[in-house]
Amino acid sequence: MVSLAVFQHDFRVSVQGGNFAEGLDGLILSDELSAASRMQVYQNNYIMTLTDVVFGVFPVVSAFVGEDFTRTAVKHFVDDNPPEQACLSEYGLAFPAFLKTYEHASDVPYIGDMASLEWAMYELQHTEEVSPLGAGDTPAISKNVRFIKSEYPLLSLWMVGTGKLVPQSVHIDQGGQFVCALLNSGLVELLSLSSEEEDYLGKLSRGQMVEGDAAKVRQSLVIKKILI
Amino acid sequence: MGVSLKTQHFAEVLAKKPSVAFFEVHAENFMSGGGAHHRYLAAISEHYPISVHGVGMSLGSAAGLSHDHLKKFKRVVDRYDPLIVSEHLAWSSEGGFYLNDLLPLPLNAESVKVVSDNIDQMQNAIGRKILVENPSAYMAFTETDIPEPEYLTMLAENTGCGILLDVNNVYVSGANMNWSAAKYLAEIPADLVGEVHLAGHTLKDLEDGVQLRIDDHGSPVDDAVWEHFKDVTGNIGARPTLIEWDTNIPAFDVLVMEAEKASAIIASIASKGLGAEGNG
Repeated sequence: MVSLAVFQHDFRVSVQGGNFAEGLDGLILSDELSAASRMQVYQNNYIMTLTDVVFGVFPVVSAFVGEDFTRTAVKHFVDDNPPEQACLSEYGLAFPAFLKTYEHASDVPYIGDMASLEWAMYELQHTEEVSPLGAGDTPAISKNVRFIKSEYPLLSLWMVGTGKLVPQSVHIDQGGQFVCALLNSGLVELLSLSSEEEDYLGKLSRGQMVEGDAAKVRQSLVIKKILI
Repeated sequence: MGVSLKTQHFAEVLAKKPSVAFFEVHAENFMSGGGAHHRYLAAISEHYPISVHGVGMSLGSAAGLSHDHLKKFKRVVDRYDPLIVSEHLAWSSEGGFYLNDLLPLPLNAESVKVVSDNIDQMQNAIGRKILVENPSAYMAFTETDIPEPEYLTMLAENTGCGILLDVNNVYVSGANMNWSAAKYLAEIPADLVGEVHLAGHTLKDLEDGVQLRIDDHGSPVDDAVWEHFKDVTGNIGARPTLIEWDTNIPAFDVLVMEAEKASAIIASIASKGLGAEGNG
């Protein structure tokens, strides 16, 4: 008699590994359908449902590089990063980093940054929105924002992926962009920050702000949206 | 009759306020802190009772439940004060990994003890009685020595939980393992059933012309399942009944039509004086 703990270990290893653990021999009833064929249903469910979960979070990445490429990349990601918790809303967090080193993505070097931006938007859409503080409070960066710094024209590429710009209008060598995703009244807005604005936010986050900087840069409409 | 509440239908439900008795959501989809889906569910819950259905608790885990998942589940229950809370007779976590599926258990004395302890822990944590749903399965085990209806009854006796009777799951498992769904359904004690689920499944061709029925919740309820539902309703009476639809999500009206079909069956059986109060 095999203990339930041992049975579940062998079953889990079989589902994730796509094989049939020796320990399960003789435990699964088989008739006209072999035990391995029955196990294959669970193996397929595992990879297909998790692929769907991650794939569903990155529609713009998929629109940019194609569904087949994205699904294949996600399958490799699932193999390398099996989920550890039942709440899958955070599963996919590591997909952008995976794409940045994914060998088959070398022709689309910006795709990891695009996935980072898409994840930031997804995360903000599932976050409790923090109310802005009133005027006169010490300026700080809102919890409703995420920043993605890219050596590629990320926001412009995003607009190509969402059909707002034609592909011919953007070239990946035209320079990088510092993009901010901002949750505002339930909607996520994307902003591109100037180097001056980026420098100001960097100083602010390091506690290096001086009055002159504040007066000058806080006139920026973008900065006004980002600060609380 | 209730229907699954899917994100695609949030706005339509709020705008049209359709004639639906309740909506069921998966607990795991509402475990994040905020977002539009919470705002929609809060608004919808002002007009309709909500049923919270868990798919990731892993009641069958020999290693016990995840405290973190229990805490998140409790937050959902506390936030929406649901009419019904349910989970599955299945396992999905092992060794620190989550398999995103409702996996089958050998049904024997050891697993009865494990599942009963886990149900106790869940009910104590959320402060509510839960319903436990019979799973769909694609395999059975040599180490099973307790029939599933008897097993579910033992869980109810051990823990005070009720049964969520998924008629489609019974049909799918029976067809896949070559046993009688009608016999299974007749053996479920009527007084333990707190909710009924109906859903669609697909037929998958495998080796040597063998077919398996796959419980994918992506199509209308099968005719054979409707026939079993008539028998169940005749035997146990009307229960809160849900049309589950989780993949290939159709227009909302399709779900409502399926729910109306279930309502018509219940009304027809009640008008004949059968099953209105249940026979068990």
